[in-house]
Order: sequence, then structure tokens, then C-alpha cells
Amino acid sequence: MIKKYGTGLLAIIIAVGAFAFTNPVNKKLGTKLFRYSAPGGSYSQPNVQDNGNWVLITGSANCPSNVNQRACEMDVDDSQLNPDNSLKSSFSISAQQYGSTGVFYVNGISSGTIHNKTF
Amino acid sequence: MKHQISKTVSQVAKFLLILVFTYTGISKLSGHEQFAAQLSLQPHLAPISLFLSWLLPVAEVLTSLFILFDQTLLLGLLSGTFLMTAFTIYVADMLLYQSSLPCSCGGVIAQLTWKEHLIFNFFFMCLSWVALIDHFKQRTKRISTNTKEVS
Repeated sequence: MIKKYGTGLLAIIIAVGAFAFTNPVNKKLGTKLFRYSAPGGSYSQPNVQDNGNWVLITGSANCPSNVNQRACEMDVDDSQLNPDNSLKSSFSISAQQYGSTGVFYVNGISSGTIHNKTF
Repeated sequence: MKHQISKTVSQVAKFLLILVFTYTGISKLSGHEQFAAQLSLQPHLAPISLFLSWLLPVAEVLTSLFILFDQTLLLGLLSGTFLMTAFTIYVADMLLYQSSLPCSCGGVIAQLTWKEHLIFNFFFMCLSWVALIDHFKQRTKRISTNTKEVS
């Protein structure tokens, strides 16, 4: 049995061991709220996708999560922030156009929750 | 000699496929919430993201178990080759059209860039094809030997 399946079993043991050593303990991360600061009132794709246009705010969220028309806020996991609470350069935001309005909303971020708002 | 090389290549391929499918499968199951959230960001997969977020890791773990046992080896290799080919096409699509989105992969593989990911997947796709073709060759050889013995 061991002779027949030894190699395969060894692969499983290595995989489980590698997982145990590389996977951090799954804990709930804290989040911080960022609000989109539209430069010149622009909601273009490059502006929405630019991490520099998102500002950390201390107030509570006031944009709904179920309306996808215009970028507004996002709750970002602490793991995605630099020590000075700015967004890491590796944090990615993707934006999609609402209809053919030229106005973009956030449709994907590396980690966290998206809140868009009405057009 | 040729038979020995073929046997060794097949053993190494099976070992590596079991290793990678077990690792990525349990990584995805362990971080299921994040995996499901990242899958839902992919425009083409969003409607079935929850279903896929369970199907993929379970299929990966089952594939590695199927490859482990002789009785289910063919099923495991077919499933592994299908999964690796699908993943490679998916990564190539992401690299070409949507590289700004995060990777919804398991474990340390998520740290790879899309380009590195494509190379990684391409290697394992080739490996699974090699193992599958070799398995068919061995099977055909066994059948023809048995037929000769009977006649």
C-alpha cells in the first residue's frame, strides 16, 4: 500500500504542509473607508481607477452598496494600506461605465467592499 | 530504458499534479469567502461565481485523489487536464483583457503576476497532457499484450 501510493501520499503531505506554513491564520481584518474625490467633477475611468483620487475619511459610509452608477466609497481591508493609511500601489480598482454616460463606477477592487451611488 | 524514462516522467507528473491540485484546492476552500468575492469581480463569471467558488476547489481536491489511485487514474488525469487547460485559457484571457483585476487563485500562487501565472499554468497544462497521453499509451500496450497472450 505504502509502496504503491507512497509518492502520491507524499505529494499530499507536502501540499498540506506547504498550505499550513504559507497560509496566514484566517482572521477578520479591520477596514477603512475611502471616498472618491472627483478631480474637476470627473468620473472618467482613469480618474476612478487612480488610487490617488481616493481619500481616507473618518465619517460613516453614506453610499449604498446596491447602486452601481457612479463611484462613491469603498471599505478597504487594512492589509491593503500603507503604514500612513494610503492605498498600497498594488491595490487595484477597476471601473465600468454606467451605460454610455462617460461616468464610471467601481466594479472591482483587490479586497474590501464597494459602495457606488446614483448618477 | 525508454520504458523506464516514460515511467519516471509519468510518476513525476502525477506527483506534481497531486501536489498542485491539493495545495490550490485546500487554499481556496480555506479562504473561500475571499475566493468567492474575487471570482464575482470577473465579468464573465460573476453570474455563476458562487457555484464556481465551491465547484473549483472541490474538483481540484477530487482530481488529486483520483490521480492517487490506479482505479481512478484515468478519470483524474482527464479531469486534471481539463482543469489545467481551462485555467490556462482563463489566465491568458485575463492577461490580454483584464489584467487590472486581482487573481482569484489559491495560496502563494495568488502572489504571481498574470505573466508568471500563465507560464506556471502552461507548464502544468503540458505536464497533465504528457501524463494523460502516456497513460493511454501504457493502456494500449497492456491491452495488446493481453490480446497476444490470449491468442
